[in-house]
Amino acid sequence: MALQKTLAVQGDLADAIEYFIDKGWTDGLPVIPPTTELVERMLRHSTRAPEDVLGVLPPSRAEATVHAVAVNAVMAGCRPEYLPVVESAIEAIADPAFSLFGIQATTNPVTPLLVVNGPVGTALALNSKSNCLGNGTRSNATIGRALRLCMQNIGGGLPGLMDMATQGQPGKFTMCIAENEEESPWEPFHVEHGFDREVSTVTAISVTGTFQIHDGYSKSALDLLQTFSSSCVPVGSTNMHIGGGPLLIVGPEHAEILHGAGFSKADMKGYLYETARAPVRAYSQAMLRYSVHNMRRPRRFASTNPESTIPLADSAEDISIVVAGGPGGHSVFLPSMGAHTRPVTRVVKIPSLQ
Amino acid sequence: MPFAFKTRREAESLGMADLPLVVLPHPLSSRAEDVIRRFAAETLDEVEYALAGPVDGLAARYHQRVAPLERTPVPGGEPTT
Repeated sequence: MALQKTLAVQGDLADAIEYFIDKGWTDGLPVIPPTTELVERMLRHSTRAPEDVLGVLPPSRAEATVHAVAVNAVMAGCRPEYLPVVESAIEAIADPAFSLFGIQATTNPVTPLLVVNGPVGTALALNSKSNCLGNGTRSNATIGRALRLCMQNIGGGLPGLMDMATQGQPGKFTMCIAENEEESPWEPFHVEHGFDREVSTVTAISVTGTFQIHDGYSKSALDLLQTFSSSCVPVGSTNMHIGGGPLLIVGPEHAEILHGAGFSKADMKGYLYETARAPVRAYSQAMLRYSVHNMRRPRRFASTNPESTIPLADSAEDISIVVAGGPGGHSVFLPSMGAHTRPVTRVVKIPSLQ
Repeated sequence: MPFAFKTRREAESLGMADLPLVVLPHPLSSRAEDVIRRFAAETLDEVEYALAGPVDGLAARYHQRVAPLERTPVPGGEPTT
């Protein structure tokens, strides 16, 4: 296969690693040099042709071919069998509903979080339990990293030039988890959205950070939801004053308390929509005029009564819930970047799992 | 001009590499409204010049203000060497 010209770097492995860093082709960490052999080994795990286009990635508007994605997956340290997840993740972020241009170019600290559902999570040993958002698991770490390298190297999201994030966030290095379907009392995220349980999917959700919700003390669902409601209204987050669909990663212990009291995921969303609200008085007149009243479903939340309230999302259905994590009374609130970006789910096709 | 280079690259990726870019001071949104209005008024003449002025040499003059970026080959994408 001779799709692309090859690159010759003089010197040894260390020289090649330095070459890639000097060229600005990395995320700041060293990458695996994508030799022809490693790329071809990666491509053997794709069900598609190397020249197939998975999507067009802004702001460069370059085509993300299977080959180009495989090169970046090698650089990220992916095992070859991870490639189908990375391919589907690329399809997801290239969907116009995800609004990748804004995510790549904005001053916001936004990044795609990948949530994997179905058998592929177990097959690739993706971490859905303790420290799933943290370090320590190769598949989580390298699949998320491969997506970021594709966004940078193919999509042109170069920090400080095209990626204008004011500070960014550490999740921009990598952010990929599996849902803890085994310990979730509720239907998995992909089943909730119309897929069969045995189908594998990856969902891209734009998130601007992770806010801890620590409550290991409340024993009743309503007490626990009081903590959630109070924790999910950071008035300065873009999600609050522009709108959008926030994500809650609910720890299994919290999920069990809520499920035990009869709360479905829809019930929890509805409860949070009604109770997780910031008062109008929390905002300055300038923020109300230019952002809240101007950009958050104008008219609906346009009250100037300081005691009227603004919910964490425009509707209960805009809130996403995923169960993940290990033992402990912790959940995570992840605001979105705005109403123009929506979670996008794509099927992951792995022949051995069909 | 922290956003000017980004705009130049965006214009290039849309096939409009010679698009004249009129650049406003930054930051903008945090300034007083009367200051923003003054910026707008001061910029109108230049916008008119860029849209309706003499075409000859226009692209070159604006490239001097916001130069095109050197393109970086994409690993696995564009051919490198």
